This record gives sequence, C-alpha cells and structure tokens, in this order.
Amino acid sequence: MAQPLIQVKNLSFEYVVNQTKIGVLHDISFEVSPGEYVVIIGHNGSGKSTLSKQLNGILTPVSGDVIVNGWNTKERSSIREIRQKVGMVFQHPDNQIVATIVEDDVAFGLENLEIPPSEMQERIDFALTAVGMNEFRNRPPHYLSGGQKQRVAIAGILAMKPDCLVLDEATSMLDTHGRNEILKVVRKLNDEGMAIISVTHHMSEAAQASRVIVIEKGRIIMDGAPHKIFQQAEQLKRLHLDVPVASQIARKIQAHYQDFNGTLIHNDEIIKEVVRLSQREVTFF
Amino acid sequence: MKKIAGFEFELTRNITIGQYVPTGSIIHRMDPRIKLASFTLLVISMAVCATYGGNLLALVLSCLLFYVSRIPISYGLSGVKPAIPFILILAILQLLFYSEVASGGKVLLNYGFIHITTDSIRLVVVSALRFVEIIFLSSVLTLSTSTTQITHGIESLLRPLRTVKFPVHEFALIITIALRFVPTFALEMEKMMKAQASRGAEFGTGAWWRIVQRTKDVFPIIIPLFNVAMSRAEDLVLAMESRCYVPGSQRSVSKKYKAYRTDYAALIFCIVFAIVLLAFPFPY
Repeated sequence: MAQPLIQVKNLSFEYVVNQTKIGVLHDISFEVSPGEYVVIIGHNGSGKSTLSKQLNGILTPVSGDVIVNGWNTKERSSIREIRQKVGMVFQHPDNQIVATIVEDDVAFGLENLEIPPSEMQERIDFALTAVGMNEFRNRPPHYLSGGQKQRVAIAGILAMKPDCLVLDEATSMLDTHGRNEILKVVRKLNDEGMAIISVTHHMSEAAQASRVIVIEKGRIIMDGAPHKIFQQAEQLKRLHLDVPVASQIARKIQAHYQDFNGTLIHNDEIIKEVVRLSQREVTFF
Repeated sequence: MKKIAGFEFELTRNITIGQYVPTGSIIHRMDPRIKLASFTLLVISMAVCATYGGNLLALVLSCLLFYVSRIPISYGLSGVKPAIPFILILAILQLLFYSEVASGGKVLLNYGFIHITTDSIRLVVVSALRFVEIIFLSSVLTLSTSTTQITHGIESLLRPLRTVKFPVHEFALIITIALRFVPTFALEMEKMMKAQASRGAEFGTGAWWRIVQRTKDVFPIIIPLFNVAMSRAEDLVLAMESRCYVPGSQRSVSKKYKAYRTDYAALIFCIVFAIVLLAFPFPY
C-alpha cells in the first residue's frame, strides 16, 4: 500500500500536574494506511483518548513524532492542513456544535478554511446528504436527538473533505438507536475509502473494524485483526475488557459442541454457522 | 396566577430569545443588514422623541409592523406583560421625583415635596409609550429574523470598526455561540432543578417579597451550572480547533446577502420617519 496516512513513531506523552509529571503514553508506534478502519480500545484511563488527540495535533508528543501525510504535528505552520486531513468528532453531542442552524454549523469549518462561498454550498449539500441530515438543514441544533447532533458534527468534518475521521468515543453518550445511526454512516464512509480511527468502549463496534489496537497503561499491548484479538478472551478479561456478545456465544457453544467455530465475532456469522451445522445434521440422519 | 402543576421546571418553553416565526412576509425577506440599520434608526428616534403626537405616531407604526410582518400582535403583548411592573414603578418614581427636570408647564399639584406639572405628566406617559414601542419593535425584529441573520447583520454593519482593530468577527462569533447555548443551558438548568427538587430542595415556594430567600434558593443551581458551562467551553474549544479555527485568522463568509430596491425603500422610509419624529413640531 502507498505511503501511510498517519505515522506514530515512539510517541510518549505526559501531563504535568503541580510540577509532577504523569506519564500517559509510553513509546507508542503504529501506522494507519488510507482506507483502514482502526478501533482503539482500552479501559478508562488507559490513555486512548489522549492518543486520539495526538492524531490531529491538539496535543503534541513530549517525545517521538506524529506524522500526518508527511507533516509533523509539532510544526505548527502546517496545523491547518493536518486538521483538514484528520477530522475529529468528540464524545458530547452538544458541545461541538457552534452555530444556531445546522447548515451554518457545517459551514463553520469551511469558513475557517477560506473556501469561497460558491463552493461552500456544494460541500454543505454533499456533507449533509452523506450523513442523511439534508432535511434538517434549517433546524436549530437543540431540536435534534443526540444521534442526529452527532451526525451533524460528522457532516461538519466531512465538508472539509478529510482523509481520516477520528471518533473519540463519539457514540458513548448515545442510545442504541443513535449509536447504530452513527455506525451506519461511519461504515458507509469507510466503504467509500475514508480511513476511520474510532476510540470506543463498545466491543460490537470493534468487531466491525479491520484492525483493533488494545491500549493498557499507555502502551499498545495488542494490535491485529478483530478475529485474532478477540480470541485472547482471557487476556482481555484481565484487562477488564469485554469481547463482543457474538464471540462469547460462539465460545460457549464451542465448549459444548466441538464442531462449532469459536472464533466468530459477528451475529450473522453465528447464524451462518448454525445453519451450516444444522444442514449437516440433517444430511447425517 | 396559579402555576400549572408539572410545568414549573419547563424553562425551555418560556425562552423567547431567538424564537423565529417564519411567515415569509416582506419584513422577513428583508436584507438583515438593512433591517438592523432601519430598526436601530427607529429605536433611537423613538427614544429621543418627547411629544405625545410623535409617540402616538410611533405606537401606530410599531403596531402596523406586526400587521405587515403577519406576526400575531399577542407575541408583542406577551413581551410587554413582564415589563408592566417596571413601567409602573418607573412611572411612579418619575411622577414623584422628576419635578426638577420637568418643571415647565402648568402646575397641577403642589404638596410638600410632590410637585406635579403638565410636563412631568407628559414625561410619564411618553416613557411608558416608549417602553411599549421599543418592546414591540424589537419583538418584530427578533421574531422575523433568525439569530444567524442577526449575527451576520451585526457583523457586516460593524465591519467599518475593523479599521480601528475592533475584532468584529470574534464579536459576532461570541454572540452566535451565546445564543446557541441558551436553550442548552436552559435544559441543563431544568435537569438540575428537577434533580435538586427530587432531593427536597424548594424552588420558588418562598413569597416573592422575600428576595434574600429566593436568591439563596438559586445558589444550588447557579454554581453547578457555571461548572458545567466551563467544561462545555473546554470541549467546544477542542471541537472548534479540530475544525481548523485559529483565532484572529482570515475566514471566508458562508452567506452573501444582496440588498434589493425594496430594502433601500424601507431604509429610506425609516430615515424619513425618524426625521419626522425628531424634527416635526407636533402640537402636543
């Protein structure tokens, strides 16, 4: 694959509180290629949120480097380009909407990028259509549901035409319905070639990714395809992390019935496996 | 007035700032810059005009504006209602203590320090009328203009101030964000009041004259609300920066407004009206 979109090299970071340094991230290295869907999991205080804020230069490494599309986040002169490439959606739906009308909020980033008004309308249309919020364009944001607000926030990022979308626990304040709305949009964007980096608690979300990174105490301890990661259920349990419900079920069935494939992590995979095995039973008799 | 049970905490219903009544009238369709300028002119002239005749004319105009904008006048009246106590108190104070300022005209009553003249009566009536006119006018303005349009209007009207290094855009952005968060904080306050009330706190149960008591009631709300506001502000800064906002840097404007002939006609009408109010020798 071509040049990586984001390169994190030996990144370390610490907060300074009352002159004592608190190390948050230690020697983290990974790369994200264009079009990848990466999920970062880890329990509270593992540093995953801090890591996500490094990716567009909101925080900069104490040592090591973060390189976005060739630009180092430490060089503040290219910060606007970096943030245009790597868009970020945050946890709280209410706290990231700036304007009093949906459409104007989407325009906010474009105004900052000095996009001419003629092109702006087109981009706003594109972004709102992509998240399915076109009919709400003239609404004030406080009449929207949490999931809708989050979709507006995503549209605000999409309008800037980034190559990568970082979701910093963007679904954690939403109900199941709102979460599914967002995941649908994210999956669609990923299918269209946008790289996604999602920081989350929800294992069902992690199961959809093409790659899962597990962080514990500021270090990467696992990095691989979700199928591989969720096989290590014992280790995840030690880290107080769950595995997707589908994976738990698959393992339970396997414990009773050896032939059942215990490495499955998606609901529909389980259905297929059950169908496959039941058909075999039928032919058996 | 008896409170309807269950609705005392529903603050968002009562907030009229930024309420927009889309009727699509001529006034709604006006260029926001010209609309703001015209309304400012009218308000200033009404605030200065001190004759009965002028103020009656202004009152008629402000009522007419409701008709033209096709907004029910009840909206305007509901704006006047909470102001009535202030208008009354002001009227009484002016009647009793303004005799030195308005000492002209015939003396109607002279008793101790109370000294009522035809001029002080005029002052009282005119101030009350002014109040109503200006509330009507600003209601029509805010009801017929979305907050975005108002902030865009303010921004472009203040643009000349850039030459003296006044941060016009930042100012407009501050107003936008403030307006944006009014309903959010109202909702937040509602939640806090409900949470506190469910743990036995009492709100608004003290009689209205026990001001100290009623102020104390509000503390358990105000302080957490302030705290929440700070953390929201922090989040907002991050979100704004992530969308390439750099304070003080160049930005482009998303909306272009174009003034039409009718807009200029309206502006000219307001200028003429203001001149009439200020310069015409009304007999009363």
